[in-house]
Amino acid sequence: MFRFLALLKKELLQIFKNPKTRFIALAPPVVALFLLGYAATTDLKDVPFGILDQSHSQESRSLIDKFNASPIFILHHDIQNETDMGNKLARREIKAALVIPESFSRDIALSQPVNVQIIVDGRNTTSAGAILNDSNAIIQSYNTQIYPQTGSKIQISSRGWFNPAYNVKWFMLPALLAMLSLMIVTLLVSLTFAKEREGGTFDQLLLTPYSTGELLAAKALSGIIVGIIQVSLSLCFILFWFQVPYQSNYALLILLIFFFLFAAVGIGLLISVHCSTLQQAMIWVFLFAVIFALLSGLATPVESMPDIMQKIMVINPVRWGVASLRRLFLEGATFIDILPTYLILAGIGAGTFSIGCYSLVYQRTH
Amino acid sequence: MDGIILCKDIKKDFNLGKETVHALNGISLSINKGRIVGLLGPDGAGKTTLLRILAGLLIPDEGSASVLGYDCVRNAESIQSVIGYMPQKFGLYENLTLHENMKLYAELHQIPLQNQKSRFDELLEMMNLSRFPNRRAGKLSGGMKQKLALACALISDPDILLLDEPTVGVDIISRRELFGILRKIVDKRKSTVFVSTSYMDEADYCDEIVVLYQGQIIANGAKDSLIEKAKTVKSNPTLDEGFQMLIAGAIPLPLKRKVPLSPEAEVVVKATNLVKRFGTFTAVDHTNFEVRRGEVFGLLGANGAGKTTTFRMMCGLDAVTSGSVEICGLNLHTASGKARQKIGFVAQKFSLYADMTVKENLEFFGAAYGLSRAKRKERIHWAIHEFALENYQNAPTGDLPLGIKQRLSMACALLHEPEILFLDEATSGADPLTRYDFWRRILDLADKGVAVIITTHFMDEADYCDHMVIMQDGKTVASGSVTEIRRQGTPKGAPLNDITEAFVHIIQKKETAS
Repeated sequence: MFRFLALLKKELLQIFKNPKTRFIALAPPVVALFLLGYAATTDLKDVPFGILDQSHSQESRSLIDKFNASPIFILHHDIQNETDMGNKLARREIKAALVIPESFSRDIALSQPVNVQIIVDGRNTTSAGAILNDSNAIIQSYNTQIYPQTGSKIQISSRGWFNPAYNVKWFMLPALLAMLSLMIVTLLVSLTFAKEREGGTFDQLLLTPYSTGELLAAKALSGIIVGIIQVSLSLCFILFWFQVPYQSNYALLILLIFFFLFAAVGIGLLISVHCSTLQQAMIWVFLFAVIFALLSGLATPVESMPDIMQKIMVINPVRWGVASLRRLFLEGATFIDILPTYLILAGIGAGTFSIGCYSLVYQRTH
Repeated sequence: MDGIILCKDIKKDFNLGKETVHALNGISLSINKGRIVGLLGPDGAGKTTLLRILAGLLIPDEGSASVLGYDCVRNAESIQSVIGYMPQKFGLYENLTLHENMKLYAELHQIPLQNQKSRFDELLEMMNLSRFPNRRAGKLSGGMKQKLALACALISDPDILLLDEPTVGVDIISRRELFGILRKIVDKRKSTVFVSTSYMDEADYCDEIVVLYQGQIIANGAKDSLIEKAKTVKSNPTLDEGFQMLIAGAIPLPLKRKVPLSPEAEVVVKATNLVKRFGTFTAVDHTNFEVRRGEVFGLLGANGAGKTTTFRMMCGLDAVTSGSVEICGLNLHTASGKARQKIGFVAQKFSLYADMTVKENLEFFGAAYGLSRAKRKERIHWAIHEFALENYQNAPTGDLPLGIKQRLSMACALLHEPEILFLDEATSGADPLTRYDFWRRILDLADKGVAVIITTHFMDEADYCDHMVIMQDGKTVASGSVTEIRRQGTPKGAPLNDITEAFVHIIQKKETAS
């Protein structure tokens, strides 16, 4: 046992004693989360928003005041008519417009259903969706505030279930955690054998009585340890800095992280065993990371991918990580909900690890 | 002073962690046109630093240097356009062919296109490489690579050649060839060659020598300047002895085994019918060895003879295509973990963990071989004293001077008290004093019953071997004690050749036969 611990200690020393790998291990996830948390959200700010008030009533003005009070929108009151509105949208002078019909105040007075129209520039679907959501939120609050006794009168669509504040950060950050930790941990692990080969230490290591399995296990475990440190840092950041609420049992999260890292490390080892230089290893990791990230459901829903692709992406650990982290954070998922993910991630890890081990044994005996 | 290369009081320091290393400590010299001047000295003596300063790649802390009248600091670019500089790790592109490599350097030196072809042909002819202009550089043997590198350095037909250890890791035959080429160039063009080497015996090929040790010149002038002082205590001293005399003030006694190898000693390494094929190429062709307890076993051969592959198969680093290796009765391939426990290994290239300290490396290798905590403590304590590593325990290994690295490599290999020690050119680049020290330890271990298997390019080290094997084209071409090898390598009726000549004779005889 102590022999194995010595090997593990060596792996960790190698990562943390070298300023370069120490930096890769710890800094990028935090820096990336910070930047992405602020910059790459689809939360809106200063949206030019046209108002076409055909009602000119007390009620319509109070609705407009609601929009005016929102930090998201900058109102443009100079819309003459619907043609003018269309032109301004086309020229991107405004991104959306609220049309209050002539009958607005009369319908309210008669307690009839009221319709307001929100026209959105659909060229950017992401921002369009966000504008609609934000507008809906404002109208909803208008409804509950002005007419608490009669309830909803203005027709709106339902609010998001899991993200009542329409906060994209809540949706993005847990998912980003999965992607970033996969990239960094896979990269670190994939470099280990190449580093030994380039540094000439590989021969020396092969001549020690360690078995191939022990060599791989120590590298895997060191990768998982680094991953746990790194993910914990990032989690603290998500929970305490961005204050994304966590809805489930923390034990489920820890278990998920462990299995996820196991899969990431397995992929890293498999790459590492087959690469003789650092450069080769980096190129492979980059290739896998890009494919896994793009097809993970991080940005685009997995459900909208072609059927065959969905099937292939069963082996994508990021996909499972992203989905399960979101469910744990936002949905309050239970053990049974996450169980398939655990099994699949463990399978990916065990599979890649075994192939890696087999390959290394093959290399040593042929 | 009217030398074509001039140095005056050059000093250059480097910072290694907290320590300052005086790489060059007051170097003054003058080199005349049309000479081959050898810059001799062990690794870490300051050879590379001096050559880099002369090439205008490094600025000295103090002093001045000039090449062809150009100041090495102010006119560095002018110098670089008139010299050919071949650094130690010459930038050959392994995936490009010989021709493409030369083309690349020709373009870097802006050789007009119409002149390129004739220049390439001329150089390839000179290097005796014209048979395969389209072979990839990575597929060449060590000696051929160095010749190609030299050809690339010669592309612009420079007046001055600065060569940094062109012969390191190259066998004696290729070394002779390389110096033969340099001699031809100097004779023909009256160019000047300043060539560094850690092999003292290469002084024989030079018109003059500059011997560098710890940043200072300890001998300068004709070849005899190195051995002059040694002549006062011994007739016909070797260059190594001259060096030892200058540094230590005495020539140490020749090393002798205290416990000679017993003919009944048990066989601990037994290689039977070893074959290694790479595709259709047979690198090692049915070789057999037996190494006994307490035996020093030397494995020699030209570059590409299959020596390295054999060595790697014997210690279990490379798998055998067929045949078997037994270590103390254990099959290396079926009981590899147990067999490896009995082996210690020192590689030619430093191969310990550079980011970790000396202590951490020792701790790791101690634990790797399963030494208990108490045993580990005892052995590490022993190793630190035996190899005088007290002052370096907490230094990162990567920053250590070469000599210390070599001592640490030995220490790590011996921690678990192996029964068999594999040394792959472990003395490469070491100075004669260090080598003497190294061999004293090796013979000591052999006296205690450790079998030592060694590859080397230093022919004088063959004298320490109880048994030698010379390999060529994957086969054993000579085998026996040093005396037997010398006899085999001497033409009939001629006086007995020394070991170097015998080696060259054996290899060349086989070459002409095939």
